Amino acid sequence: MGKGHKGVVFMTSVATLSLIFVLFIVISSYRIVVGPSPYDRLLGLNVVSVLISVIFITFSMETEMGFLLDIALVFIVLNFVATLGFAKYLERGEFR
Amino acid sequence: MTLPMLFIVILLLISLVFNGLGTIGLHRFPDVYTRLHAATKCTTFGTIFITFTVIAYSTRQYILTDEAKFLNMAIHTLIALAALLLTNPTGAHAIARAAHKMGIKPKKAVRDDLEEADLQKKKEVD
Repeated sequence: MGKGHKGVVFMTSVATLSLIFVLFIVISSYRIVVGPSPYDRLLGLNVVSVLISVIFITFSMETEMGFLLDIALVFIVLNFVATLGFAKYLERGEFR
Repeated sequence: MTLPMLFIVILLLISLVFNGLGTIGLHRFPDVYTRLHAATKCTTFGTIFITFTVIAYSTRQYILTDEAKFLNMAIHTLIALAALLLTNPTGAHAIARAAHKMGIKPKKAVRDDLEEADLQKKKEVD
């Protein structure tokens, strides 16, 4: 047990809890596949992207790799741009 | 498992519960607006707590091992939190606006204030 030792119980519990986020992604994908309107599909895509960035953040804590946080940040910003673009497209039927 | 680790796991559990509630809301609610309401609020709140988890963890590791890497991690998590807080509600607002403009009605709604305001504006222009 050195300085800053994390412990087996902690690591397994964090890994197990972050696996549940994958289950949430699967449940949210239902809305992408069977959403009645395009807006439901867009919302499902938004939620799935946020959950993927959450998994990135959790994984950076598990493995102590800091660059995964940068990937999560870029994922969040790209998700924002994609959502705004699709919303504008669905609002008018064409890009303006 | 020591006490700070237990605290971190509890923060992670809170985040998990709220993300799960958002996902269930996305699955079960009847129309776009209620789904937006459930999914966006709950995922934003859950993600705030997961960033708190990582900040608590890296602060603890920084105090114990005194490596600069963990301080770096905490600051990057804060930046990611700020980006998420700015972008997620804005995207949800854009989706709701697009849905309302293309004429999707809220289910079981008695009155629609935004539609009445639009009609009023149109009358004033005419």
